[in-house]
Amino acid sequence: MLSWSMELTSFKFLCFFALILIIYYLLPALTGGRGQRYVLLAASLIYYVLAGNGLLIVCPLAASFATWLCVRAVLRMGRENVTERRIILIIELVILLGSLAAFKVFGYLGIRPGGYGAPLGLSFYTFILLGYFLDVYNGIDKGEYDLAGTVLGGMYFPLMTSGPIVRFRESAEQYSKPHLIDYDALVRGLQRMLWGFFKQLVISQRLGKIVDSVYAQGSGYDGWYVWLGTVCFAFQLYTNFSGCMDIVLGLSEALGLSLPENFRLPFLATTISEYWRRWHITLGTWMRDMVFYPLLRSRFFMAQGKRLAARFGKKTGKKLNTWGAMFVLWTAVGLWHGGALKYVIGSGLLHWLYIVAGEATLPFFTALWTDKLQIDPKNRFLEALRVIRTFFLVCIGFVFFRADSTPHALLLLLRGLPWRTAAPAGGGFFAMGLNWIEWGVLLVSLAIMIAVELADEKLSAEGGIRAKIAGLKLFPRWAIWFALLFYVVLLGEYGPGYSAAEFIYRGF
Amino acid sequence: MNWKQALRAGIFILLFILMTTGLTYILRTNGDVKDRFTGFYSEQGDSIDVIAIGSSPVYPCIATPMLYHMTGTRLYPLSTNMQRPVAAPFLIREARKTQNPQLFIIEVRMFAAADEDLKSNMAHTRGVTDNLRYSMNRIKTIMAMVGPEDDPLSYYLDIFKYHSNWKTLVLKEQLRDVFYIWPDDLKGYVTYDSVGPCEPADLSGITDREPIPEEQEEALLKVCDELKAGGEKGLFLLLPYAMEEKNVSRFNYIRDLVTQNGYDYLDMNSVVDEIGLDYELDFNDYGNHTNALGAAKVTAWLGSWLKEHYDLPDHRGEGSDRDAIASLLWGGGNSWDKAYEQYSSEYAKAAVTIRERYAAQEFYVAEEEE
Repeated sequence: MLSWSMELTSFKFLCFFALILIIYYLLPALTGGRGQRYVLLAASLIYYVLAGNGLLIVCPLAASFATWLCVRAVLRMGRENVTERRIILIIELVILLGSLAAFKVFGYLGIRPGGYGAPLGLSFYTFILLGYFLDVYNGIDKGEYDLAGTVLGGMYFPLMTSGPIVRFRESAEQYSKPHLIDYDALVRGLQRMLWGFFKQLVISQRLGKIVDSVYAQGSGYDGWYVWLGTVCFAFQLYTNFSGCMDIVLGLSEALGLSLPENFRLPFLATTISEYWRRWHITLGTWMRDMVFYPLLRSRFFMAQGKRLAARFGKKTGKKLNTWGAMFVLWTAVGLWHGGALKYVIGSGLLHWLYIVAGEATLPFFTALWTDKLQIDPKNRFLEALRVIRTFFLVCIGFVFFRADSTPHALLLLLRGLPWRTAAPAGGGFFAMGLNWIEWGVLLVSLAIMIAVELADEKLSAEGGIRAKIAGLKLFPRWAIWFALLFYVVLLGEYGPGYSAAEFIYRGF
Repeated sequence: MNWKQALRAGIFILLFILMTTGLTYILRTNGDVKDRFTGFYSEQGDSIDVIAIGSSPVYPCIATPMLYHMTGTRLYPLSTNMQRPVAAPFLIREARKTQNPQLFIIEVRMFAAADEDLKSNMAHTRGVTDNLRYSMNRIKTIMAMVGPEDDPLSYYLDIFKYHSNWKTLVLKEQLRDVFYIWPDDLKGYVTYDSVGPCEPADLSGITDREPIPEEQEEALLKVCDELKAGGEKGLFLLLPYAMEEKNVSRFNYIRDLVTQNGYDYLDMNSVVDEIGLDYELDFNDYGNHTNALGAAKVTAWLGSWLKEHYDLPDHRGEGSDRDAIASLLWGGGNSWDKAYEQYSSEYAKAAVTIRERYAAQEFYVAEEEE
């Protein structure tokens, strides 16, 4: 089985990317501006073979081919052929969602057909291609991509690790346009990649050791230690996933491509709904547009809405109907993360419950703050409390996400009661995979990350912190980038003696 | 992108490469092997007469400052622990970059062992590869010594391995190695002051020949070819140790190979009586390596033998430009004379320690290899 270590943080990948970058910008000079998309296509296919499971490349290729055929068929039929169009829709859904579900079920049951696991980027290419088809089906996208364009749109190599789940109309058009080398974009892209390396190699890897200590079966860490491990996991997952996105978006920027953001300071969200507008944004958007809205427009929910409105009144009935559709939506989000119940609860239904409870109790709390206590509900103290509350609720979901199983998660939640705080013999704060120096490195790095990301958000109107640094004189500018570069080179956890850096969402 | 931007990018990349190189040199694990190699690179060009290549028997056995004091010969060891013979031709080439030695001494103990056994610990390979400065020769050494299954990337770019030594960045003795040039006080020699007695065995009656492992024979012939190409003399040397019977016929085989190729072979085990080695007192670790007492005896005998068999110059009283610069900067004189002073002091202390330890029966305890 041909499979190289081609994680986005590996040296092999960096060499691969450097080669692609050179060919990508040299080729148009030789061909009069043509051929860049074929460089990306070839790179995507080669990357898939090297980083994935070799022969499993037939899966995304088949999915792309099926989508291309279905799009052609839908476009040829015209909107008046409702039945035929529905048949094509069902064929596309069966092929794409069927293979996704089959591989998820196989994974859940531990079945590896022919010795292979799931294809690399299964969920991501499935959603990207399905989104493209549905956009064409709904008349949002003109569906003008040829087979090569469809394959590239579905399999663009940086997306195969952890997304983002791009929309064809936002991304695929860019792949086919010529891109001249732009020094500033190239540098900005590489800088963003470096930031991703910092988050993944310096922070996430270290946090992972603490999390592994606490979440190991029978670890003996109880009480506050469970919450320490969970908070560490929240930041591990954030730095791991958003670090990956920084690398993906950065390398795309270096290639002259602009992909959608996937994160926007999620742990500063004041509500769960807001959290999902800040965390894995492209999944939330995709689910909203492709699952939630179509569900609400479906015959069943339309009829259900009417029934509920008649019984509970227009406002309450509408709300109940929406919550019903949201139940399906959040189950789907949970299932997307994996077939296991822990994902359905931790990344799905628990969040549905939070949102429903939040909406249901909103009138009560609004009345409490404004009428009874006469406090501005938007005051900073309450906002801060809401941030903490939301983070805590998200962390409960993360307990399920990280635990080995649902019973393990429940056990950890029970053990997490503060009065049970205890560490195993020989365990403790400095025996959780990090000594005091490593803790120091971790905390300093976290502080740097938080400060930089807050500043980046604050400066977003002016192009963010990279634009600010770019405005400095050469010496301080280079000093900053060299400092970050060597910070990662020295303190990053990579190479012999360290477990290889892996992206958690690669498994989805 | 205009030419100005391209130039700026080029300068940034160049600075990064230079800084990373210096950083790697600093971060490579400190110890006597690193000191020996940085010391070698710091020697005045064309000032060394003899280069000794080989495994761990070399550096605690040939007391280079004493040899210089006794005969005026400047010998420098490029030896590392369990040095794999495949490295020898590349070390010869490395030595030639800055030195023009008349004689290369190749210690042959490892030629009798299978390379597979020596490879089992990557430190035996890294001892060589990760102590060479960056060059084409280093790349070729890695290509010869490291297989695709051994993570060659971390050998070519050893910052991948040594970045985790970042905590040693505060050590003065690490920071000074930024160019991988720093004089070694004892010119590559290491004073051992432990004692581990062993039984001498008379193996002179064993005259049969047993072929050495194929890869070691190939390595030995490559060394001969390399020496022929450079026109230097070569002495294949077996330093004294408590040899196992099974190896004698292999060394007999090596002797034949070496002499057939026109090079000298010297088995110092056959002259231990002349050397005056005391097996109770003169070995550090039960016959594997000599301690300071044994080293002094071996060096005294070897010095005379070299003088007798080779026309090596006497450098005593000579200074070097580097010594002169060093003297101007922070005092001192001829670095070889200084090395002898330090050696004499260390030898005197070690001699007392060894005798005390022997009297108290406090024998050497092996440390576990990493």
